[in-house]
Amino acid sequence: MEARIAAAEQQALAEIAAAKNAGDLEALRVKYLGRKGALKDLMSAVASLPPEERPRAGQAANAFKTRLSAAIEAAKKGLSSATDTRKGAPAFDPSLPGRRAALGHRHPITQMIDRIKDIFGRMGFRVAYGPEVEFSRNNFEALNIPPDHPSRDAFDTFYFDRDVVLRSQTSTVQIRVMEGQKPPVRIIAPGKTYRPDTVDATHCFMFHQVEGLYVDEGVSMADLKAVLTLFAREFFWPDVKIRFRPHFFPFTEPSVEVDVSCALCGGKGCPVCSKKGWIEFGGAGMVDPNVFQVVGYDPERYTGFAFGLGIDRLVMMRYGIDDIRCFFDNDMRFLSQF
Amino acid sequence: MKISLEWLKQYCKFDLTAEEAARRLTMSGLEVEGLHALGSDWILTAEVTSNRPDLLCHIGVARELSALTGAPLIPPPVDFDCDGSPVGGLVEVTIEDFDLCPRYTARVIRGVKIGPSPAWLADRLEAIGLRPINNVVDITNFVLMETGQPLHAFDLRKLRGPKIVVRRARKGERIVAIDGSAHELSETMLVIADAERPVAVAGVMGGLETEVGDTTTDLLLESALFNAPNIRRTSRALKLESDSSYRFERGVDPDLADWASRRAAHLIKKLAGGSVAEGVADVRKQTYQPATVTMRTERFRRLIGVPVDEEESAGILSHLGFTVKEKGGGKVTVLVPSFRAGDVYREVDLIEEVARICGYDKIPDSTPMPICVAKRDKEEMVQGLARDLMVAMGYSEAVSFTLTDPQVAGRFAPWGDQPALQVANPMAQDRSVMRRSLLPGLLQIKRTNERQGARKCALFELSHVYLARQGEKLPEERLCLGLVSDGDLRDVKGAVETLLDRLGLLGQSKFLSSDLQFFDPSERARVELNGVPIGCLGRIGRETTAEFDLRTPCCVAEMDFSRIAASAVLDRKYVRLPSHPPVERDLAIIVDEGTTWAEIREAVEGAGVAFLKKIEFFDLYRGKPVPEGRKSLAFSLVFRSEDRTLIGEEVNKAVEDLISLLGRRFSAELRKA
Repeated sequence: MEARIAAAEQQALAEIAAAKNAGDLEALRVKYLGRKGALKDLMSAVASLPPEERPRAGQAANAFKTRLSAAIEAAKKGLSSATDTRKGAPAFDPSLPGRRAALGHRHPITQMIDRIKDIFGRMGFRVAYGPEVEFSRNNFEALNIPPDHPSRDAFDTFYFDRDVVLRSQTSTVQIRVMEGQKPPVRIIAPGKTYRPDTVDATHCFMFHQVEGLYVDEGVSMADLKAVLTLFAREFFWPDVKIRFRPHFFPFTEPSVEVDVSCALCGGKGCPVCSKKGWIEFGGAGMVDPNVFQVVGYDPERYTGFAFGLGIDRLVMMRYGIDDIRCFFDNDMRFLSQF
Repeated sequence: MKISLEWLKQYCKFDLTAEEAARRLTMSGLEVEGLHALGSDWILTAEVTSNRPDLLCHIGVARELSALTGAPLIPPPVDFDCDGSPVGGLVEVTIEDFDLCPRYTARVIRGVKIGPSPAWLADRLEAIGLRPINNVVDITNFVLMETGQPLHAFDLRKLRGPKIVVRRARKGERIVAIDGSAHELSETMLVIADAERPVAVAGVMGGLETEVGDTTTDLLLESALFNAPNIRRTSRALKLESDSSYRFERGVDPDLADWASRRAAHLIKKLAGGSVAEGVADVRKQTYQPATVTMRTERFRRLIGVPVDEEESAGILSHLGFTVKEKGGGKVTVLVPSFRAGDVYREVDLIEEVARICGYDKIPDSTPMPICVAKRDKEEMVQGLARDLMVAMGYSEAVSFTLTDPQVAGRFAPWGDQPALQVANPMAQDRSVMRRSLLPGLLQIKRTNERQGARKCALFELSHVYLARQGEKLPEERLCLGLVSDGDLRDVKGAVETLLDRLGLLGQSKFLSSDLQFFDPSERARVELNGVPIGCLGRIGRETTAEFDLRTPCCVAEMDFSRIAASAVLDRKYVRLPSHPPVERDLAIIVDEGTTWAEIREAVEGAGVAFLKKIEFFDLYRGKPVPEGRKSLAFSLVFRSEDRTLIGEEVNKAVEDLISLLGRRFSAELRKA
């Protein structure tokens, strides 16, 4: 009996090994293990053996069943991973480009404004906004720029009538904020500004600035230097220094222009910084007491600093863009670089 | 302004190279933008800020270098002999308007010989870009560039009277200036007139008729002070300017007129001979009274962040020309010199003087600042979210000009009929009104990109439009979201819906028919949020397409973003996941063209079908075998019970009921596969 079982097993295993697909395996399962299969015959044969031989034969038959089932399962698994590769089909070429998502791009100016908001946000500056179409008073008189004064040349404006202009600087927001609340004030105000200017590679009649204002008891020029140094180190390069050069704005006293040291030459002079060693990036100063008077802050008790940075210029410096008109042409080939 | 280093050294023997001098001046407030050698001399090109008119001359710059280096200031000689005859007998000077002319001085020099200037004088003038003319005129220019006081010499014999009357021009008066230009004068302009007619536009330019020429023998030398704003207005109105008007506009030293006149007389006598009449006709209402200003060293420390003591402050101020009256007790009190009268009048001005000379490099760059929380406001956050979403959906952000063409602005007015704000002094006609919609700018950009062969150009802009308001001087600056797509209207609507959905507003939004003219009438819609209009979308019409020179009519949308941001729901609330699986059925029904999806959806949702959780559209089909005038709408239905698993049979009855309902209400037929 055992010999008969062994022979059947050998044959079955050979056929299983030769099976080409799941269908063949299923047919073999039915042939050997199905209701009318070989196993049935073997079990019938075991039943007709003398009683003392039945237990051993029965065990052998059951072992046959177990081993065959296992072999069929294993063969099935082996076949299914083989069929996935579709024998004869070419292998996947990992260098073929995938299907990428078609993402759009944020405008580089927006990206820069977001960065600036983030850097100053971490220093506790909240974002304030003011109108672009503004009262002439907020653009001039309130900022200590009297009428018929040469300092107005630098702030030449587009105007709608005697009283309403397109703001020529974001400093107008200083007035709006200070007239709207009591000190302390810690804000930045990004936005569009306008000056009648012939459009060329570095000038445009519409551009973007960001104003900063910090007013409290005991604010000094050292705080101004510290804040702008922190900004410069986050925005430009980590080891930079900034320097103040005395200048003039009617709404700050003292007034300075702010330079950042050129990272490439460390201040010695190279092509990137036009041999100067320093790159100008904005204007700043301590809020003029005349401005505090206009907005009703006590200049004896409060001091403050203000700064103004040209955003378009900063973006051009950061990315090496050499023509300001790119920002407003919005050519997809430009936008998709950022 | 051009400055000659050799010339400067006449007034101060500073020991600096040209580069060092340039650097020291720049770091203390006079920005030297360029430096070039001229023979043995160096010429500095400096930008003088409008608050420092005292630096518009060589003595002024020398004074700065004196303060920076400690080398003393050397004033030039102003002495000369007079010939005895008093000036009062030779000319009569009257000022009729002291507001416009606070002071006028006149000296008379007779018997001069006009000729070319000596080499040293011609060289000085040429070094700084001026052209020598004759000795007397050159001297007036030289003294201007030396002292900052504008001077003018008249040919005395050509002055009628001889009288000088400083008055406003009368209606109809005219003058030909020394540059040959003819001008009609107005009554707001100040003139220097003789007994009969204007002989100079005061402070701006002398008249051609009375100018000093080869045959002149007698001179009247004018050295005066004029009202700065009026000079500026006159100069602008006549489009006439000079080195003199430039300085008067910015403010000339109120106490300088006579000294500069003597300096010129000294030089004229030396170089052109002649005899100087005794005295000077000096007409003025008041003499210069120097202001007294006190600086507290403690205030300096609080403002600048660096300490300074009285000794140091007093020393610096003294070197700058301020007279120290008192020093001690933490204070320094000074008299403001006449040449700084316009600029220094308060404590903070003195603080700036001391600080800039000490050097801003002394200010430390790291101080602790108190912590303060900066709140992010909701609109900021929603803006950020919206930009992220638009970028994720494949749109790129444009930043376009806010000033547009009035013709174009006239046609795109999705937010109301108020006229566009018009700039009175635009740079160009096509950039002369404030935009009332983002769409024209975006369409122009689309065209630019089409011309460049861009295959993909989906754009958005999140920025302001400017809407005039009745009775208000300032417009509403409304934040809007505009978009221009590559796809069809369902793509644009999809983008808008995605945005509204993410902001929790889709359920409160409705899309309705629109009648906006710039859209194609068969493809346009408007959007309402809780009943309030918040936007429009559509395919641009054929006319608009042609106007913008676009290849095909594209689909666009514009939304009122400030309303959207204000209503946006950013908070989320968790809803427990269903514990039993749903049963889904897909249906396609054929209805008339005129039947809207909203009607079908509302009918289904309102039918009170048990267990129906969701109905979702997924396809619209027209064409064979669907009859003409009819369309096929396919949608999926999702049924689910909270407390047990539904079986197919339960749902089948509900579906059959729905089909009957739709059949009755909309003549809907079930579409067979």
